[in-house]
Amino acid sequence: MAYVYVKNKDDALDVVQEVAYRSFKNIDTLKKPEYFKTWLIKITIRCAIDHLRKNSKVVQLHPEYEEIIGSDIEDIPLTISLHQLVEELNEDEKSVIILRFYEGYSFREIAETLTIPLGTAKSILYRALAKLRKQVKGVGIYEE
Amino acid sequence: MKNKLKEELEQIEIPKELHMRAKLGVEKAKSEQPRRTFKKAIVFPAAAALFLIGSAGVGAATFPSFNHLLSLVSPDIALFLQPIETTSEDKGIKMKVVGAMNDDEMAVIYVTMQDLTGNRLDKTLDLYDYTLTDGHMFNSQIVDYDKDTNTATLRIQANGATNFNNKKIKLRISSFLSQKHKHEGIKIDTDLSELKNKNVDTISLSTDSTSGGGGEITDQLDTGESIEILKPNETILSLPKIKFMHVSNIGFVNGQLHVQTKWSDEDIDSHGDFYLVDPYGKKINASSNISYGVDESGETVYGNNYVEYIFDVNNENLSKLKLMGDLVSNGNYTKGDWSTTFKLHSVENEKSLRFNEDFGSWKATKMTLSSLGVTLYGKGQFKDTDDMKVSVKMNNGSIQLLDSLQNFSDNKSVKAKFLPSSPLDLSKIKAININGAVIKVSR
Repeated sequence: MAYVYVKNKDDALDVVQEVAYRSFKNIDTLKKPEYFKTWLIKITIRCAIDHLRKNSKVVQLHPEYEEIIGSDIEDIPLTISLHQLVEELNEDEKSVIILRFYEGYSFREIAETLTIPLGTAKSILYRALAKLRKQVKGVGIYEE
Repeated sequence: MKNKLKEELEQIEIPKELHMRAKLGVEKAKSEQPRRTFKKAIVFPAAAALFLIGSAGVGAATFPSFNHLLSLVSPDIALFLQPIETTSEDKGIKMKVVGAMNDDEMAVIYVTMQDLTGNRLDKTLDLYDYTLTDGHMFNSQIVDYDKDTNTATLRIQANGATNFNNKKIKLRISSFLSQKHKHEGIKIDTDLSELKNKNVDTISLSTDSTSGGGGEITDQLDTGESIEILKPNETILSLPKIKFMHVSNIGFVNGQLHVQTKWSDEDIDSHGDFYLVDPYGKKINASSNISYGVDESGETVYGNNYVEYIFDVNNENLSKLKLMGDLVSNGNYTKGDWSTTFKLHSVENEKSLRFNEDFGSWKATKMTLSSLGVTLYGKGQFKDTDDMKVSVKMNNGSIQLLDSLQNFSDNKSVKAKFLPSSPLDLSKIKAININGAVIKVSR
C-alpha cells in the first residue's frame, strides 16, 4: 500500500518502519479492536502522506470537492492499472481507489477511515475514475 | 468483474527487508517507553511479529485485554482475532477469555489468568486439566507473563471439532502447574562397565501395564508381545538435590542398558530425559523408553510412576560413558474451577472444495480452506503423515508451506488439518497443492 503513494521500494520501507513505530506507540488509542485493520490502514495512509510531505513533494490534503451524485460506478469497467493509480492520481484519490477496489470498503467505511464526509468520499472516487477514463481515452486504449 | 487493480497490487513483490524494518520501528517505539518493565514473550505462535512486546492502554479502550493481546501477537494473527470478554473467578484467580479465531474444525483461544491475591502464577505456568465442550485435541502454551499485574496470557488450541463456527462453547480450567524448576545435566554416579557383567533380575511387562513410551520397544508391545524390564527397586541410586525421583534399578537386559527410574506420586508432572555422554561430549539418546506402574507386591500394573530408559550401547567403551539426566519438577499445583461460555465467530468464511484422493490407508472426500489452514476429510486410517506435502500458492506467486499437521480419526473417519505458520488471507490464494495435485481456488 505504501508503495502506491511513494512509488519506490526504499521509501515504502521507510513508511513501513514508521507505521510499525506509530502503531506500537499508539496501540492504546485503538478503541474498537475489531477495526484493527482499518486502524492500521489509516496509519499507513497518514505515514505515506507525511513521508511525501517531508520529502518536499507537493501533497494536497482535503481540498474542497464538489459533490457529484448520480452515476453508478459499478457500471464502469474496472480496468485501472497499477501504473495509472501510481502516476495519475493524487494522494486522496489513491486512498479512495485502494479502499474501494482493493479492500472492498463501502463509501461509509471509506469516509470513516479517511475522516472525510461521505459525499466527499464519493466525489473523490468519481473524480478519480473520470480522470482515469479520460487518460485511457487519451491514449486510445480500451480493455475488456 | 475482473479487478485488474487488485490483481496488480497483489503482484507487488514484498521486499525481504520488510520484517526487519517493521521490527526496527517497534524497537524504536520500545526504546522510548518511559521506565517500563517490559514483558517477555515466551512462546510465539507465529513468525513475523510487528508487535513483539508492549504495553496495553489500561482503561483507555473498550476491550483493554484484547488490545493488550493485539500487542502480543503478530499483525497477521491480530487481523483474524475476534474480541471476547468473558470472565470467571475462583480462589482469587481471575480467568478471562480475551480473543479467539476459528474455523469449523479448529479454534485458537487466548485466555488470561490473573492472580488477584498471591503469586501462584509465573512464566512457567502450564495448564494441567482443562476442557472445551467441543473439540478433541487440545494444547496450550503461555505466550506472555506480566509480573507487574500477575497476569499470564495463554494460547489454547483445540482441534477435531465439528461445526465450531458460530457455536457457543464452554472453556473450563480445573488445575494448573507453576513454579517449574529445571535441573539440567545431573550426573548419575555409576560405572557402566561394571554393570555389563552383572546379572540382573527381570520381570515381564505387557501392554496392559504401560501408559506411554516411544521407540522400538513400543512397536514390540503393540504386536502383543511382552518385554523384559528390570525388577523394580533392586539398586537405588539417588540424584544430588533431587527429591522427586531416583534411579530404582540399572543393568543390562539382552545386551541393552536399562535405566529404571521411579517418580514421586506427589509431584504431579515432574518429568525428564536421560542420556549418555561419551568422552567427546557427544550425546547418546535412549533408543526406547516406557512408562508403567508397579504395585506393592512388585507386580506391574497400569500406571506411570516408573519410567525405564533403554540404550543400545553394546559396542561402546562403557567405562568412559557418563549417564546424565535433564529433569523438570513443578513446585505448585493449583486446583480451582474457572469456567466461562462464549461464542466463536470466525472473521472469514471457510471455503469448501471438492477433493477426492486415495492416500492408500484412507480416502479424502472433501477439503475445506480457512485462514487457519487446509482441512482434509475422509474415511479410513490416517497413517502416512510423512508423505503428505501441502502448500498454497498465493496470487503474487509466493508459496506458503502448511507443514504442521493435526489429525483426528474417529470410527474410521479422518480429519487432517495442515497449518501454516501464520494465518492465510483467503482472498489472495490462487491454488492448493496436495502431494503435487493442484486444486485451483476460485474467488
